[in-house]
Parts: sequence; structure tokens; C-alpha cells
Amino acid sequence: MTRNLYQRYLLVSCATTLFGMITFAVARLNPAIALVAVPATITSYLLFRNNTLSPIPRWIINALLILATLSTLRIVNASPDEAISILGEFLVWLTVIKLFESHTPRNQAPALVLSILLIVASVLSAVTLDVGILVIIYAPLATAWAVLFQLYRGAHDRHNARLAHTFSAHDTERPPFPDTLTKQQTRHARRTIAAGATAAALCATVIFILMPRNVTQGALGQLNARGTASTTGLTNDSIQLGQQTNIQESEETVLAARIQQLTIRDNRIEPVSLRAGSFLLRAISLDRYDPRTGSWTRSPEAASQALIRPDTTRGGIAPAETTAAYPLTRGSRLTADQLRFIRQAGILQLTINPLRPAARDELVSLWFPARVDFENIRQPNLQTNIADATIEFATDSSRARQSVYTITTLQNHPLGINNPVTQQLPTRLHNWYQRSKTATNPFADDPRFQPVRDLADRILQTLNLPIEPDETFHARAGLPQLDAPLPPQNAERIVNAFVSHLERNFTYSLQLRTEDPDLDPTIDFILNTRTGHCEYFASALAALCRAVNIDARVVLGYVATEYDPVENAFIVREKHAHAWVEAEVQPGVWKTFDPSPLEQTEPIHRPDPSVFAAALRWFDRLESLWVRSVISFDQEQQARLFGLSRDGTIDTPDWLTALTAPPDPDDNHLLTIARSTISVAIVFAALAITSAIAFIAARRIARFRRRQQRQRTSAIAARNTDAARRAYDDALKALANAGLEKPASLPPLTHAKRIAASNPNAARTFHDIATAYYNTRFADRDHDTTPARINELARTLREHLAPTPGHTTA
Amino acid sequence: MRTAPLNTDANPPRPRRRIYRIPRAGWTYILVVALLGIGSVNSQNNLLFFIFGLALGAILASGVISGSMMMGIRITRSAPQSARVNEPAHIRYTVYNLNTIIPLFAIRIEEATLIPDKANKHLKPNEPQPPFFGLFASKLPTPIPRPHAFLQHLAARSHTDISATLRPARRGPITLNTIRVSTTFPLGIVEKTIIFDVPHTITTEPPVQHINTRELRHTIEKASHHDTPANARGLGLEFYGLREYSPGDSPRFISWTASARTGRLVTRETESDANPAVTISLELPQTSPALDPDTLAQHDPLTPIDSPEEHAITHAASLAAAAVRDHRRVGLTCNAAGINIPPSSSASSLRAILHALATLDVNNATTHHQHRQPLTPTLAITPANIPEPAANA
Repeated sequence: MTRNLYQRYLLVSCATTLFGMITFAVARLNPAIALVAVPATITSYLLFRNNTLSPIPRWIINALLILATLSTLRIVNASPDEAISILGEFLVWLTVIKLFESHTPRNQAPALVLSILLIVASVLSAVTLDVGILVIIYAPLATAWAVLFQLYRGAHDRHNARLAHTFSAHDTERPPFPDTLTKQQTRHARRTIAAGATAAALCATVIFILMPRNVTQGALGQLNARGTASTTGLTNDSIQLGQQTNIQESEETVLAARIQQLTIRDNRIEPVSLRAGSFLLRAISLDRYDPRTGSWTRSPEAASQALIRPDTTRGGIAPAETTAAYPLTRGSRLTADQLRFIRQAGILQLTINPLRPAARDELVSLWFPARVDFENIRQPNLQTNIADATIEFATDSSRARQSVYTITTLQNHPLGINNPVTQQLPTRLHNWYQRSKTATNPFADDPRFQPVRDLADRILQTLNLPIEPDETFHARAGLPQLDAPLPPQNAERIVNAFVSHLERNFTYSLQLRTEDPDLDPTIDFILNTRTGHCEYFASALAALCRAVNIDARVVLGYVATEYDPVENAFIVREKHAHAWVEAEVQPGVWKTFDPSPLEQTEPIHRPDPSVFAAALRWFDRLESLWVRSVISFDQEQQARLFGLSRDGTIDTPDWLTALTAPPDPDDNHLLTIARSTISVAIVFAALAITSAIAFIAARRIARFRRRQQRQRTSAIAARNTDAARRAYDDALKALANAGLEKPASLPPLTHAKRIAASNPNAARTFHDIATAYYNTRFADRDHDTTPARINELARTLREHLAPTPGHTTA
Repeated sequence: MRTAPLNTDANPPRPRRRIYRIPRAGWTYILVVALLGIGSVNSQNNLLFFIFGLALGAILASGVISGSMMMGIRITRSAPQSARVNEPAHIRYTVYNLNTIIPLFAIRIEEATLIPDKANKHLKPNEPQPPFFGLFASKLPTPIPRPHAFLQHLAARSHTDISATLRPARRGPITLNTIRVSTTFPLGIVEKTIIFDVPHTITTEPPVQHINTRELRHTIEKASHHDTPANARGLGLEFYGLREYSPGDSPRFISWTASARTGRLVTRETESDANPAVTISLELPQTSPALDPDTLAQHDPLTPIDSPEEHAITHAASLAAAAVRDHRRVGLTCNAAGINIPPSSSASSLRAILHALATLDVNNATTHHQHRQPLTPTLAITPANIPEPAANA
């Protein structure tokens, strides 16, 4: 079976081109690119399949290219921050235009380069699993394109040479491209492509492992990262209210959270995994509201209250005041005081596995972060802010953001009145706390927020909740008497009343609108629209709390509800991004309140039980594997892979340890496999290589044996054929001598039948000789008819034809 | 193209040297890979690292595949001894693949002397280039293909025959010393070339343009009007003359028309049937203006030479061929080159004339021994008296 080389080349080139554009569309999350690319590629293939259509004139192609270039330059000039996106789309347009150019080798080489550049633009845009899969599929396709291009180019030149020698330039009827690929050629080309792609993949793996990490990062500047536009997600470190958009839910996975409760068993700390429930993962708190812009931000005063003390001896980092209070070394025997503290503190451990490179500097935690442990970073540059209970990187460290980390959190804030470490707070933290109590509060003082105060009064009057200032608040907080409004005594009940009112009388929606653009967005939400998403609810609750002098702040983070039993962790997606409120119900005690209507937000945050959701979770697991083994591969993993430690000694590599260590009965087997991703990859690679070598060896041995057998058979067949031919010739002569000459027109077997009447024995023997000759001569079979056997037949025939006494031949 | 198992009796020559060159596409690829490397190191994007590794791996795999592929190539050539200007001549190559496993793909076979190289740029086809670099041209001109053979595929341990078409554009010997076998397979990054020394010479005869019989005879008559005798009487078919009837003449030869006109019997005579002879005398100036050594015509057999001397040689060859076709004996003299071929109507004589014209070196035309003036009609051909149609035909 043969196929036209041109058609096969066209198919592969179109498929590769389409794959490049689809990859970019996936990377940019831009379906419009796919909507342009797919029909354009199919149309191009159908139009040029028979190689008879005249392509678009070159001057039109060049005019379109110039137009696309000018348009791109104009757009780049207008928005230089989106360089990758614009250049990628420019490459898409160039590719689409070149699809309709004549498919000469001169035009096809740039098309291949364009396609490769499009893949590079895709990778610069996103490094998600889907992009990775598309890139991995693209690689052999591009190899096939390049290989077929070499064949096509040579055949094209040869065809042109033939035309030049045979036809004049004025001949319009020219023969089409004639070269074909036979089955053998296709097989050999396929093997070559497979060998080349495999070798390139192996080389890529080696280079991927060996390339230096964190050496010259950002030396030439950074290109823009992808934005999430109007989809759900935690993208900013602030809240901007008053925008009219329609927010779409994003299923993109952000992180996997493993939550453990530290309990005491036999005077030892024992973690117990929590597998159900809804956990608020706090990332950043916002304590300042700007009435001019309608936005919540983090005040510089709060952000500057960071305390940091790296504790490298323990492999982690913890605030100075909490480190000494309790050791969290697993398995160590604890004192009675430590046990009492741990029971009081209600310690939860949150292990975060980022499923994509985060664009943020904040780490998420459950409650007040007391200790942070990274899996593969020895000395992270962190800032733990004891003021608003957040933890963040002091400097840009994308590598650290991709690392798995565990945060040990305390349910009680260190500033709380029941916390023993409160007494050890540094002076500057006390000063900040004091300043925060005397700071201006627009919700209580600004006349623009009178509607908020009115609503708070109305709610409290409805519930008969009086506002009685807590005269001992400052004293309990260790503060001097301040000239500042005091919070109410029953702050927690009041806040709960606000939460109930918001839950009952307001509607949750992702479609945002404004009734009065001149009004403050929070007031517009409270008075007019009464519809919004979690940020509006949180903003309204914080405003109501502050209107009655209860200190409150808006917290941004995620809701972890989707537990994955295989990963033994909660899968957190962009759609799980959430905003809620923390209010100071006691001096230094901040309690969490979520004003968003649970019955309306729960369907959004609830895991999808459908079949597709299950498939999506499997994809998430793959993505997790992808992120950990490919995207997050860094210097530390390099060192661990080769068993190198920082002090120059050579340790046993982790993957070797993982392979040789006995299984931990207490640990989840699947999680163990997931943790040792590299070891799994190496096992698979070793299996694949061994299988490939065994397969190739077996095939070569089989082929060798077949060749040997064929040669042996051919030799035997040749020998038997010679003997049979001689015997047949002798038999014909003997028959002629005996007066039974075979007419030239008569087939031997028919002649044998004819002479059977006169000499049946001779006829039978001649029949056997002729059959043996036929079989060895023409049918290449009957290899058992050895020369000895044929000679025996010939001798028998001579005996049968020998004249008997008294009988003479005619 | 048919392939056959490897004939172990064949002993094709081994390659003389190997050449590695990076073509333009290869430089483009290397530039892209370098940018990839810089970009990946700068961005620390692991997926970009992987793509960079793939790109480098592709270079490595390409080198290994093409290198091992080219290790097993052997080649022999079978070319004609002579060719003619503007007529295709086929050069046949037998390619052997001695590799045990690896097949050959996309092998280009060329004659090294027919390839323009950097040192000989003027060998490029002299084509008119479209304005503005062809940016607004409706169709770009297709380059004139140089003679080459392309082998799409050859399985391991087998051989095959392929051919290249050579169409010489000027007369003279074409020396084919080396065969150049190259490939950019599999990815077009590096062009690997191996050189085989297989000397051979093809003598290119001048083009033979058609001259019809009437024109030929007119030319001969014009040349023989003064200094050459007429043909003798004989028993041929062509009319010679009329004479008075004499007893013994065959009645078949009586011209009754003339007899009726004159009132007495008149006999028609015919020319002798023997081949008439003609000698072509090519008169080149003793100090022929030498061609500019920098012009392409000196070296490239695929570029035509447009000079009066060449036109004269072409006309002489055309006359010789036309004369033989007219059953005449034809000879050639050229005192400047020392050529003297006696008249003969045989095909071998015509070949000798064409060969002499093919190898005639107009740049080295000197005064040789003056040959005796032939007795046959002589067509003196000089660069100045070439008929216009013949020169442009």
C-alpha cells in the first residue's frame, strides 16, 4: 500500500500546526484562537490535499503579513505589558496566513519555525498539565513534520527538475507530484521518528535535571504572567468593590491542603487527619477601607509588625514567642506544662501542596501561624506577622512558593487574654495595638456612612441588643486608659446578629451591578442592590462591626471542602476563593465570622459529585504529579536526586531510599507513591527502557532466526530443485526411450494419466517425479523431497520401464 | 526505482572525505535553541527547560541518525561518454547501503564540479530577480535545477539505481571527478556530505540545428560557384543536362518534351550517383579574442556561451550533420586548431567531426600547418559570416 508523500506530509504539517495553535489557545485560555485555528487548518488541508489548487497570490500573502505586523505593533505599543499574549496571537495569525500559502519547501520551513515559536509562547504563558501534555504530544509531531519535510523537499526538487527537463514554462498541464511512500518506507520512517523522538526525550530529561536552577533568574527581566481576568480566584491582595462584572467560576486547582489535628496519646503528639468539614484557609487580612475608591487594603502599620526568627536547628521557622512554649517535634516525650498548653492551644497542622506556581507572596494558614516547615527549603526568607496572623515571603521567591510546606497554627491568638505568651509580647507590638485602638474609624465617624450606623442600630433594636461599652476592655488588654471609643460588652452576640441579618436579607450572586454609582459600594450594597458576592458581604459585616466600635477586618483565602481520599488532602480550586470577617470579640481575641449565606455559597464550594467531577479529580492528581515533578523541580531536588547535601557529603538519594525502605504501615500507600514522584518516574523509565531493550533484542533475534531459516530453506530448495529437474529430465528421456514420449503440448500429470493404461507403475512413478519437480520448482515447498528420494523415484521409474523378456519397445 | 539486496561482489569505492555544514535552516534552528536556553535560564521555567532539552536532544539525535546513516553509503557512477548541448544526458548512479540496520533517507547526489560554491558564486543561474525582493510578485521564479539525483529511501543491506539528468549548455569536456552525496535528514539542522572520487569525462558536442536540404544545397552551390567543378554525369536521379540523341542511348532517357520542341531526339542526362563531397573549413581568427576568465562561461558547463566563435562552431556542426543526412561526404578543416578530417559520409566520420568541434579550444587557436587545399567544394565558415537565422535558431 502506498500513499502520496505530499498528502501525508500535508496531513502531518497541518496536524502539527493545529496542535501548536491549540496549545497556545489552551495556555491563554482563549477559545477564540481555537475557533479560528481549527476551521482554517481543516480548510487548508481540504483545499491543498490534491495539490491542484492555485494558492493565494504571494503579494496578497505578503500584504496580509504586513497588515498583521502593523496591527501587532500598534497593539504592543498600546499595552506593552501583554507582550507574550500579543506576540503569541501575532504568531497565530502568521500561521493561519501561511496555511494558505503554496506548500513549497521554501514556505514550509518558516511555518515549522512559527509553530515552534508558538509552543514557546504557550509555555511562557502557562505551565499547567494540559499545556505540558500538549507539548509532549507536539514534540513527536514536530519531529515527524521535520522528517517528512526532508523527504518532501528532496522529492519536490526532483519533481521540479523533471518538469524543467520535460515541460516548458508555458505548459499548463503539468503532472502532479508523483512520489509515494511505500509500506516499507513508511515503516522505516516511523521507526526513525520514534528513535529520534525517544533519544530527544531522554536527552531532554537529562538536560532538564542538570540545568542550573536559580542562577540567573530574571537577569534579563521578566515577561508578563497570565492574568485570570474576571474569574473567581484569589488574585489580588485587596478588594475592589463597585465593579460591574459577571464573574465565572474557575475550576482550576490551586493547592492541596492536608489538615491534621494534633492530639496527645501516651504523652506524645499524634496527628490525626481531618477528612470532612469546611475549613477556611486564610491568606491575607485587610484592615483598611478607603471610602474614595471603595477598596479594602492592608494598612502599612499592620504589615510592618512582622516578627521573624528562623529556627534552622529544628528545620522550621516560628515566631520567637511561641517557639519556646512548646516543641512540636513528633514523637518526643512532653512535659506536663507542654501537654497542657497543647491541649489549650488546639493545634492544627496544615500541609499545603501548591498545584500550580502561585503568583502571591502569602502562605495560607488555618489560624494563627506558629511554625512553618518547608519540605525542601532549609532557610526560607519569611515574615510571620503576629499582628494580623499572616505569613508571607519577605522577598520574591517563586521557588519557595512552589514548595510543599506545613503550617502549625494555634486556635488562640497570642494577643488573647488566655494565652500565656501574651505577657511576652514586645513593646512595639503593644504600641501598634494601642495605636490601632485610637485610629480613625470612618464607619463610626464619617457622615457618609450614616446609613451603615442606622442599619446597625436598627438590627440591634430589632433584637433588643443594647450597646454597652466595655469599660474594662483596655485594662484587660494591658493598655492604658485611652481617649478612644470602647467596644460593646456583648460584641460576639452583636456580630452574630449582624451575620444573621445579612444571611437572611441579602442575596449572594456572582453577577455584580450597582444602583447608584455615586454612592459608596458598601452603602450601595446595604441600601440598594442587596446582592453581591462574598466580598460585599464581608465588607458590609466589617462596616457594621466598626460602626459599633467593634474592631473587624476582612480576610481573604479559600474554603477547603473538597476532600480527595486518594491524595488524602482537600483539593482547593479557584472557585473556592472566599472572603470573610474576623472581629475582635475580646481584647486580642479575634473570632471568625462568615456572613455569606451558607445555603447559597455551599453549592459553589461543595464538591461536584458527577462522573465528570471524578474524572476532573483524576486530572487534578495528574496535575499535582506534574507540578511536583516537573514544574517544582529545583536546586534542592537536584541535589537530593544525586544524593548531594549542602556540606558536600554524599547522602543516599531520596529515590533510592524510597525504593529500598520498607513500607510505612501507618502511611497512605498512594500518598507515599505520590511523594516519591521521581522514584516512580525512574522506575517507570527503567521499566520502559528495559522493556524496549528486551523488545528490540527479541525482535532482532527473531529476525536473525527467520533470516537463517530462510537461507537454509533456500539452499535446501535450490538443491532439491536441481535434483528434481535432473530426475524429471531423465524421466522424460526414459519414457521416450520406452516409446511413451510426452508430447510437448501435454502437461506431465496428464501424460502420466494417459500412460497409466499401458504401464501403471511407471505412470505412478512419473507422476511422483513430476509432482516433486513442480513443488520444488514452482511452489517452493515439499522440502522433504530430498535428492535421495528423487533419485530413488528415478531408479524405480527406470526399473518399471525396463523391457521385460519377450517384450520389445516400439 | 527498484531496490535489490546487496551484491557482495560489487566493490564500490570508499568515500574520500566527509564535510559537515550548517545550512541556513540549521542556523535558524540553533538561534531558536539558543534563545530557548537563555529564556529558560532567565525565567527558570521548568517546562521551558524541558523544551530546551528536547531541542538540544533533537540536534543530538539528528547527528547520530544522519551520521550512522552516512557511514554505510557507497556509490558508483555510469555516465555516457558524450553528450550534446541542450539535450538531456542521463547519469546513472548505483547507491549501496552497507548498513546492517539503518536505512537511508533523503540522500541527494550531485556532481561536485556542477555545484556552485562560495568560491565560484558566478555559477548561479543568471536569472532576473523580481523587484522589491519579490515581495509583491505573484509568483517567485523557480531556480533552474542543477543536475542531481534524489534517493528517497533505501533499505539496509540493499542497493538501487537512480539517475540524474544533465543538460549541458555549452560544448566542451565536462569533467566529473567527484560525486557529492549529502543529506540534511532527519531534521535539516546539519548537512552531512561525503565525497567520492570517481573520475569521468563527458564530451559535450556542439548543438546541431536543423538545416533543410534546399538551404544546404544553396549554400554549397554558392560556395562552389567559382572555384569548384560541377558534378560529373552518371546514373543518379538528379538532372544533369540535355544532349542530342546518339545511337545506343536508352529510349527511357529520351526527353520527349525537348525532342518535340527542337524537332530532333534529345536525351536527358543525370548526375553521377556517387556521394558528392564537401569540406567545411572553419576559419577562426588566429588571435581570437579570449573570453574574460572571470565570466561564468569559462567553467560552468550549464551556462551557455554567447560568442561569434561558438556560433560558427555550432553552424559548422549543423552543416556537417545536414550534409551527412543529404548523403554527402563531409570533411572538416580548421587550420587554427590543426583539424583536418577528410570527407566521408559515414556516421563515424560525423562523430569525429562533432568530437573535434566539441574539443576545439577557441582561446588557444594558433597558426598550424597549412593543409593542402581540398579538391572538394569548401564551405568557409568564419565568425563573421554566420547566417542570422542559424545563429539564433
